[in-house]
Parts: sequence; C-alpha cells; structure tokens
Amino acid sequence: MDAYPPKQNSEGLPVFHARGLSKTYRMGEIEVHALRDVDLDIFEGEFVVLLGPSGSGKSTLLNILGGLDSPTSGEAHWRDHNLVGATDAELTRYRREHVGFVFQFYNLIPSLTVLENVALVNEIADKPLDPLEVLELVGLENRIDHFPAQLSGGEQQRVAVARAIVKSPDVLLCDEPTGALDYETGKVVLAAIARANERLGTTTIIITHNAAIAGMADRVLRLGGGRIVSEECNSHRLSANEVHW
Amino acid sequence: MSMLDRKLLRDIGAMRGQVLSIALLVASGVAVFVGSVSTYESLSSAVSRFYETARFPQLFVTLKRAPLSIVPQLNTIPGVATIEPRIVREVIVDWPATSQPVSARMVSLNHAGDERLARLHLRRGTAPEPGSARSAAVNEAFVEANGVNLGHEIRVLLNGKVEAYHVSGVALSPEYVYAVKPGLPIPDDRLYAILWVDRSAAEAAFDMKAAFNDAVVSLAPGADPKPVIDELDRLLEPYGSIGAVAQRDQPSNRFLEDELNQQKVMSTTIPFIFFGVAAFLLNSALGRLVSAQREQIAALKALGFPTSALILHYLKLVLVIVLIGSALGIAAGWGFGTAMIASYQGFFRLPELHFGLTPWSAMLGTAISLTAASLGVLTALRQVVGLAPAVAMRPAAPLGFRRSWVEALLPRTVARSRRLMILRNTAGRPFRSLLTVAGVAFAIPMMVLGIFWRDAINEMIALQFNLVERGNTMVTFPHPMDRSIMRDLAREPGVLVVEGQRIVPVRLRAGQRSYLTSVIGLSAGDQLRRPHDTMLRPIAATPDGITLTRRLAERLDVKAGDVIAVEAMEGRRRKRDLPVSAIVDESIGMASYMEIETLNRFTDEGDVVSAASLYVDQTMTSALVRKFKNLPTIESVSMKAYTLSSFMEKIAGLVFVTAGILAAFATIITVGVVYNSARISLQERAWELASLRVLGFTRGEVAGILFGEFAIEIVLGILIGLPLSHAVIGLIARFHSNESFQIPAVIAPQTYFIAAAVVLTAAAVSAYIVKGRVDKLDLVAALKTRE
Ligand SMILES: Nc1ncnc2c1ncn2[C@@H]1O[C@H](COP(=O)(O)OP(=O)(O)O)[C@@H](O)[C@H]1O
Ligand SMILES: [Mg+2]
Repeated sequence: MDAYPPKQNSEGLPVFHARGLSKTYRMGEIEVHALRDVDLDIFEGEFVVLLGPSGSGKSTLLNILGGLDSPTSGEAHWRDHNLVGATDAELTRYRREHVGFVFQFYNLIPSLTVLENVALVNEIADKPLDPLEVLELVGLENRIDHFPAQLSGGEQQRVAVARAIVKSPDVLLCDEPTGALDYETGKVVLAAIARANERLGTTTIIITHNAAIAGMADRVLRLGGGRIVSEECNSHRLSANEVHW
Repeated sequence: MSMLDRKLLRDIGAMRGQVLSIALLVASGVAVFVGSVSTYESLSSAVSRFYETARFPQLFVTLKRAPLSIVPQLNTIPGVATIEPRIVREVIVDWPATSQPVSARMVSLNHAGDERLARLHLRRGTAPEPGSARSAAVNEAFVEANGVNLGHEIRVLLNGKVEAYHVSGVALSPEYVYAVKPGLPIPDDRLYAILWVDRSAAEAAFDMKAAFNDAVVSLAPGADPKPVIDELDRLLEPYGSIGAVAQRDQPSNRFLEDELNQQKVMSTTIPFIFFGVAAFLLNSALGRLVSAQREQIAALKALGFPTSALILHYLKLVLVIVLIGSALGIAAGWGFGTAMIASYQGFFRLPELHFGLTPWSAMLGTAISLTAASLGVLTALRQVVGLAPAVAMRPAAPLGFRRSWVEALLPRTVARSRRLMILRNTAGRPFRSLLTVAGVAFAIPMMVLGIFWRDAINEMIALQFNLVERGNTMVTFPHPMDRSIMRDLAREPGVLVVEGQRIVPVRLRAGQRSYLTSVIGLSAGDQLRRPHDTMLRPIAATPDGITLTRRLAERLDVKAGDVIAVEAMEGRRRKRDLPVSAIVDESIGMASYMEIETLNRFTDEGDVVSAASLYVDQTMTSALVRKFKNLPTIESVSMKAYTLSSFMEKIAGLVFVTAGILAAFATIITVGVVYNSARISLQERAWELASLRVLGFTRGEVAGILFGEFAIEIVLGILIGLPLSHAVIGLIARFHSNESFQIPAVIAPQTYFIAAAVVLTAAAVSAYIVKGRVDKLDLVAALKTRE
C-alpha cells in the first residue's frame, strides 16, 4: 500500500499523519465501508483538495481529521495529538485551539449578527485576529450588523469562512463550502479561502467539486469507494489571483 | 391500528419525559381539587349527619337559675319546637396525674343520654341512668388524652368537697365536637373534660332542685331565630340570662364552620393555579410538537386527510396525557384527603369521620384538565392546519432576531456574543420565556404557602402571648371578689407580679348588629395584659369608653368614635351607651376592654376583681398550681405555656401535611415547566448547539448557553414569585382568619429563602437531566443537514 506523501514540498515532518484508517457503519446485516485502510500525510501549510463522487468517504475522512468523528480502526495524529481514542474533552480542545471549519450549510448562529458570529470564536481563541479585518478579507465589511437570516447564501458562507480563520487556526477544513451555492457565488467563497491560506499559511484541506481550484492546490487527492484512488501534485501552485476561474 | 394511531404511540414514546411531566402537572391540579373537595365533603357530611342524628339545637341559652316550672311557658313562644332545660357548671377536677389544673364542664342529662336535643353518641358503655347519683359519661377526647377507662373514678371538687364519679360511658356530643374551655382560645383535651351526669346528681351537686341554668332550643321548621331569641331574652332576663345565641356563636360549631369554610376556599382556588399552568404548558409543549410536525401535517393534508382527522389525532394525544394525569391525581387526591381527614380526627370528635372520595370532583377535575389541555392543543393546531399545504411543507420562517433594548443598557465589555445569544433567545421567544417565568413565579407562593403557617403561628403567639397577655398563669374566681384578694395572691411563693382583672359578660349592640362577648376591666398601669393598637403600640384602656379588638369592631361594623350600646349580662344588668375609644389588634378571640373603675361603676359593684393574671417564677409554678387547685376561692387556673404546647402539637400534623403536599406541587410545577422548556429548547436548538461544539465550545460552555436562558427566567420567576407570595399569603390569611383566630400575613425571611432554595434545586435537577442530552449531541449529524 502506497502512502501519499507530497512529492515536492516534503521538507520536514507531516502535520497530519494517518495510517490504516477504516470506518465501517453496520446497519443490521449490511456493512457500509465509508473508509477502507487509508494512509495519509499532510504537511505544514499545504493546500489539499479532496475530490470524489458522493459517498466516496470524503466527509468521513475530513471529520476524523477534524476531531469530530472516530475511525473504526487505524491511527491518526495531528502533530503530537492522537485523534483516535482521545476523550471528548481532548478532541474539543484540539478543535478549539487548532482547527477552523467551513461546512456546506454554513452553521452560523442565527441569533448573532455577522460581527458577533465572528467575535464568538474569538472568545475561546488564544491568538485571535481582528474580526473586522477578517471580515474585510472576505469582503463583508459593510454587512457586519446583519443577522444571518438577512444575508444571501454566499454571504453567509463568507461569514463562515471569516469565523473559521479569525482565530488563525493551524488547520482549515472545508467540506463542500460551495455545495449550496451557485457557481459564481462559489468562486467568491473559494477565493476567500484561498486568500486566507496564502496570507496566513494555514494548512488547508477542502472538499469541493470546483475543478478550477485544483490549480492552486499543492495536491489533489481523489477518493473512490472509501480509498484514495489517485493523487496529483501541482509543480507550480497558482496564487488565488492567478487562478482562471 | 391506523397509521395515525401508530404515529401517536411513537410520539408518546419519544416524548415520554415531557408527557410524564405534563401529566404530573395535571395530576397535581386534580389531586388538590379532588383531595380538598372530598375532604370538605367528608367533613361537612360527617358534621351534618351527626348534627341530624344527635339533634343539634338551634339556640343556646345560659342563665343563673330558673325554676323548671317556667319551661312550659317558654315552649309556647312561637317558633320554638323543643326545649331541653339543663344544669351546666364549670368544675375543678382533682387529677393528681398532672401538675396542671384540670377542669370540666358538668352537664346534666334528662333522658340517660337519649336527650330530645343534643343527644349523646356513646362510643363505649352507657350514659348515667335517671337516679344514678355517682356515675358520669366522659367525652372521648379527654378519655383518650388521659388514658381513662370505663369504671375509673373522676374526682370533682364541689363546694370544697371532693366527690367521685364512676366513668360509665365514653361519649360524643354535637355541642362538643371541638371542646374548648370557656375563655381559652384553643382546646386542651388533657386538661378539660365534659362530664355528663344525671339530672338528680347535678341537682344535688349544685343545689339546683327543680331548677335549670342552661337550655337548648330547637326551632319549628322555617322559624326565624331572631324573634325567638328576643322573646327568650325577655322572658329569661329576670333569671339572669346572659342572652340566647344562635348556632353561629356556639363555640364548637363556630370553629367547625370556620374550618369548613377554609376548606371550601382552598378547594376552589388552589387547584385552578395548577390547571392554568398545565394548560399553559400543554399549549407550549404541544405547540412545539405541532410545529415540528408541520411538514408531516401538510403532507398528510396533501394526501387528502381531512383536517378533522388531524385534529382528532392530536386530541387523542391530549386525552392520553390527561387520563394518565387524572388517574395519578385521583390516587394522590385520595392519599392527600385521607391524610387531611386523619389529622382532623384529632381536632374534631365526630362519630363517623371517614374520608370518602367525592365522585363528581374526580369527574369535574378530569373534565377541567381535558378542556384546558384541548384548548391548548387547538390553539397550537390552528396556526398549522390553517396553512395551505404548499406553505406548510416549507420549513417555518426563522425567528426574527433583533437587537433588544436591554443590550443597549449593558456595558460594552458585558455584551459578549454568548451572553447576547442567551439574551436574544430569551427575548426572541417571549411566550415560552414567560411560561418559565410564570411557572417558577407560581411555584414560589405554593412553597411559601406550605411553610408560612409556622411563621404565622409564631407571630400570632408572639402578638397574643408576648405583647398582649404577658402573664404566665391566669386564675379566675367563682364570683367577683374584693380587690384585697390580690394582696393574698401576691404573698404566695413564686408570684412575682399579680394584676386583678374584672371580666364581665356583655352584649354589645350597634344598630342591627349585636355580639355577646366579655369586657375585660384593666387598671391604668397594668403590665400583664396590655392591649396594642393597630400600630402595635401598647395603649391603656381609657376611662370614658370601650376598646374593641379589630375583628369585633368589624363584626359590629363600628370604628373608633362610634357609640355602641353595652349591656352587662350579670348582676343588675345595666345598659349604657359608650363611645369606642380605640381599636386594638389581637390574634386570638374577640375581646373588649374598659378601664376597671369605669367598669365597676357601670356594674355598680364596688372595687372588685373576677380574675387575676400572674407572672410566676418558672421554677415555682407547679407547686403553686397544685396549691391553687385546692383553694375554694379559685375557680380555675390555666397556664399559657402548657396549653400552647399541646395545641401546637395538634396543629403540627395538619400543617405538616399541607406543607408536604404544597412543596411537592411546587416541585412538580418547577420541574414541569423547566424540564419541558429545556427539552423544547434543546430540540429546537440542537443544530445550533452542535455547531458550537464543532467550533470547539466545550459541553459545559454549550450547556451554559442553553441554560443561561433558563437561569435568567428562573431568577426572574423567583424575583416575581417573592412579592407574589406576599400577595397570596395576604389573601390566604384573610380567607383563613375567622373569629377564633386572626392569621397574620407574615413571612419570615428564612421561609422565602427555603422556598427559593427548593425551587432553585428543582430547576437545577431538571436542567441536569436535560444536560445529559446536551452532552450526547450528534456533531456530525448537525453538519449534514440544514436546520
Ligand atoms: N451515520 C451513517 N450511517 C450509515 N452510513 C453512513 C453514515 N454516515 C456516512 N455513511 C456512509 O458512508 C459513506 C461515506 O459517506 P461520506 O463520507 O459522507 O461521503 P462523501 O462525503 O464522500 O459524500 C456513504 O456511503 C454513506 O452512506
Ligand atoms: Mg460529504
């Protein structure tokens, strides 16, 4: 079994290190293998895109790396944090201190305004950025006092991006951030994520169907049937501005 | 089984915690309602059955002495049906077993207990036969309190001689269901007996051959008592009648009536608080269920289910909850009523006082709960069923959150996002927040109501026995004595202070109203009996008027400055108009005061006293009382502390039952409201809370956000509940005050504290149960779906 280490920028140790990850759902007689024996290394500052058909195990993998789910077998580490078999409190701390998430359905807090949704995360972060600056980065500086219900889907998702990066996380995990958006709006959101990775050097893993973004990724992993079936490395990574959307 | 019914069962299974807590709330309402209605019915039917079979008289006359020969004349008064003339006297009992003075009322029998009026009900043995000179029937309360048996001897002091009577029977009488010694506010069964002896024995003992000093009268059906009383008073005045009284002023009956009225008030007010809160909760819980199912409902409608079938479906849910609740409530009401009746048995001596469940109360209680709950669910359904299926199939519009004005008041540093979430969720669902606040606010008075009795009784005792009656021993003389007797009493060992009083039975009249009571004559500098004005400042009786207790002034409908007619009911029976000089506050009885010299001038009897209040050295009281018991110049001795302690023991049972029940209900309300609201909130906000967990908020922090809302509501509820308790207690004290007792509306700080602590604990426990569910939030699921 081949691991998928990055081929070019493999200097130093990987931040994510996973071996033999499997996840099986048992529903009565039927077993669903969401992940089958996945090995994976991801390095500091890398921008990784996960592609694959629906049901291929992308979300399951991302959730395990984000400390939201645990595998049936195998091991997974982020630096010296063991992500398998950790207690709920340890995983909470890991998410709180190191991980930023962006999800398909934004998961904003309906009772808080844009600015407050972003500031909320700062209350539990060690080295937060200025929420106003981050909102400017995603182009929402004029909407800070609106409630989520008053924003379009794309705007809500950009708030989610701002909320994920405001605590300057070590890792940014995005699960189909453009899934509920039209193509044009999706591009704006992806650009915001890409800019954040570029500017802050955050290790980023993103699940998306937008092929254009693959151009600015360090690596593109393709999943199928719970396995990593292929890997492409960009020798020359485009910056967010260079990508031809 | 239809699919809808299957869905009903699954819904009930999934919401079992909520179903149970709402059912318990319904159960509380039904329990208080059924319990108190049935207690009232059991007590009142036991009383009327006894009054009927024992022929309880309608009028009661006390006089000095009249020949039996005038009885036929009295019988001709229009409206009079039967007259039973008797000899009734207070006597001292020689009872070495206790250091306290024991006294008795001796009542003569004309027909061996099978009297034409006020017949005896024999528990054991027989009543003295005509001609039997040395046997007596004794009231059951005294027998039980002192372990007396048939054949025992009771020794009575008669004219300085001790006479022994054999106990031939143990009896109950409608006149002494609640046997209290005249002049004392509260009963003491250990120290006061009723002895029924044959007429011949009483004639010999009191030198009353062919005479009587007491009569009971029954009226012809439909006869108006008032002219009969007037005529009796006119005919018997030469014989020293102190005036006939109707049933209302017969001491035992008055106390019974007052207690029955209280029971009636309780059964018609308190249950409705529970019904109200239950309806409120049902509305909110079912409203939430209905809106959670709005898409299903719309789909069912689109499939062609008629609206009526859907309404029926939810009404079945209500029916299940109410039936569970009512069944529990009827069982609990049975227990509650049985406990109440058991504690009444020590108070009221009735031949057949048993708890019986009143069937209509169970049916009405269930019907009221069902109506309240159905209304709740129908209002919730109206909003959904009214929508077009196409509209209802889309998710409900999100809550319109706004910045509230409260936030503007918060300092910038306090306005952190999490606090804002809490604040906006509280304000964003005002109806539900109100529900929690109201539930808690009602639970507090419920709790206070259970325990405030202790405060009220302490306050009553403090007012009456520390402020007003400050002596520790009271003696009465058989007839007015020269004041010089005070010097003799003062010389007795242990007597520290002694003050003479003149107590005269009087009839007070103001317009159409009149009342038979006593006036107490006091000297200007008296320390041991000090009336207090309504501001609780001690005041002296003025030489030119009469001072009335507040309750008495209310009964006569007079105020300070009004003039009332005072008629002395003994001696030369003088009449005089006197101004009301002041109104005083007392918690027990309805006395009146005059300056003693004025009083003695009024009765034209010189410088006499008829009672004395003493302050005796605690260590010397027993010896002194023993001595007084044998002095012929002393008619009775009573000791405050002893009587009080026995009374407190008796009411402790009743107070304890009530407190326990009300505390249980306060807990049920709190748990019902808090648990339900928390469950509903959690259900609605699971997605949002799981999102917060994903962001890295800990279980504790997320629970804090959810429960912060409840903390605000609970604190608000308690803050409203405390003054609300004050108002409720004010009302309850008013309702429960009667002519025997004036219940003060006081609540001690620790009572408030206990009430708040119990409610807080109940709320915390409910929150803790829901917290278990917060910990188990499914994070991955929250990310897959849109809210
Ligand atoms: N809670 C679950 N129970 C049963 N099967 C599940 C559950 N979650 C995911 N799966 C299955 O695991 C497989 C992988 O799911 P997922 O990782 O969400 O795929 P992707 O994100 O690539 O679309 C799918 O076949 C899915 O049906
Ligand atoms: Mg997925």
